[in-house]
Amino acid sequence: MKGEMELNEFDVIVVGAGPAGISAAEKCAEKKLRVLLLEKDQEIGVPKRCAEGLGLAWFKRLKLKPDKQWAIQPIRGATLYSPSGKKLKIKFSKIAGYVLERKMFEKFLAKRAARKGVKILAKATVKDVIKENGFVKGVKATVMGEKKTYYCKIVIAADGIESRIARLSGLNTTNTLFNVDSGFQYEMAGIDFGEEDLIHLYFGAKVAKRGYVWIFPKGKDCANVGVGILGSDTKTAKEYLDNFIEATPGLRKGSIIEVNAGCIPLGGFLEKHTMNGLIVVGDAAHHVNPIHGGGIGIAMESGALAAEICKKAFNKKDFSDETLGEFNSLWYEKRGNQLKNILKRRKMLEALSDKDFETLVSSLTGDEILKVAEGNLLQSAKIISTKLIKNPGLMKLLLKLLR
Amino acid sequence: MPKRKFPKLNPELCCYCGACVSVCPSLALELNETKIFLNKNKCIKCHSCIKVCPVGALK
Repeated sequence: MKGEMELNEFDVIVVGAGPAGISAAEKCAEKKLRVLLLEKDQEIGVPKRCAEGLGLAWFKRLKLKPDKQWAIQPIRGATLYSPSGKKLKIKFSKIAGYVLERKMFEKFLAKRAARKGVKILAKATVKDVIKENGFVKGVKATVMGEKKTYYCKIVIAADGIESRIARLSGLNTTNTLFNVDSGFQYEMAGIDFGEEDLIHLYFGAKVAKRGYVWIFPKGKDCANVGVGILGSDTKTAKEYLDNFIEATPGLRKGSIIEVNAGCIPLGGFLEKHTMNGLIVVGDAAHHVNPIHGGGIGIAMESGALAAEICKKAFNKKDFSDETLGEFNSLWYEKRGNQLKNILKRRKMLEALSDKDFETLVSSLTGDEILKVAEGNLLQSAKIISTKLIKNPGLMKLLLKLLR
Repeated sequence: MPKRKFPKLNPELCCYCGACVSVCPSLALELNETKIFLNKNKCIKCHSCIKVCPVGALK
């Protein structure tokens, strides 16, 4: 008999073992907090709802060393395809990021967290949150069919786009149809798509309304082939992707080895991430880059920041919204304000028509775009001014972008 | 205006991705690994879930 020492009390309970949740749990354990991490699915890392790209800057920020087990494809740049099929290649001399094998990556993260003392349970679905006197105090869960109640001082909600934990607690994290992209992806094998150390992105209203089709290589003839489109579009993401594959011989001949669906929160970051006893992180808090929809790094960072706030709260023995609310300013300072600016840039890009995109791709080369993006003003001005003389359409386009 | 219906799920097409849950304004949808539950007392028949579904599994 375990008696009164029943292990149902923790300092922190993290709901959702994706990148945000595992990172939050691991960092809490490093700070000597007792942590329970609950995952609703049977297996950590599966199913993925992700194209699996992670930029090199994130490896540095998160102190991750790429390991062949899970960082399976080095990426050196991208090829952009205009609606008419014109190519714009941007290639760096050095590795710019990796395509991951999320299944392996998240297992690696989870094992590392477990070694640091995090208690992890898979197939543990949280059904409800326990609230007492306006404070979140724990969760009710079903673990392998058995009903369990766990108590804690702080719940970290890292439960993905569904974001039910926050909403059950009383924080509105519902996504609007305009703020999400509907996403669909096949992992394919036996396909031809060009260089495997580049990601391939296809644009145009026909290919993907408001979004793009991506090919993220995993070896020479395998890749994640997916699409993201405006959430409220009447055609489904699957229809867009199937049409694209049908029209692309290199893909049409291939096989589908995995099907992934999901939606991507592309804006509307939470203003308020906290309540008494609750912090929301990752996709659940819409922590995603609003231009390309990537969120692994951002999620892991927000998890780590939440752990810092937890430690502070335990030092003060105060788990109120006032103390936890420091997360809001911390996150915006570290990442949110930057993402808000990126959101503004996306809105400018959204104003571009297919014709504008053609103008851009046919007037500038990849190297030139890189130089402009690197921000060398003198060089940028030189490039743009010579191009403007040759292509008056570009001027109109720039004016549109700057408007 | 025709009377709005409750969304209906085709479980053979559904990928259990949670897109519908994330846009449901009334917390009427709940998801686990292999099932989606619709609480008809909460559903307001806004059909956001139908629009966002990446595979058209909700009608």
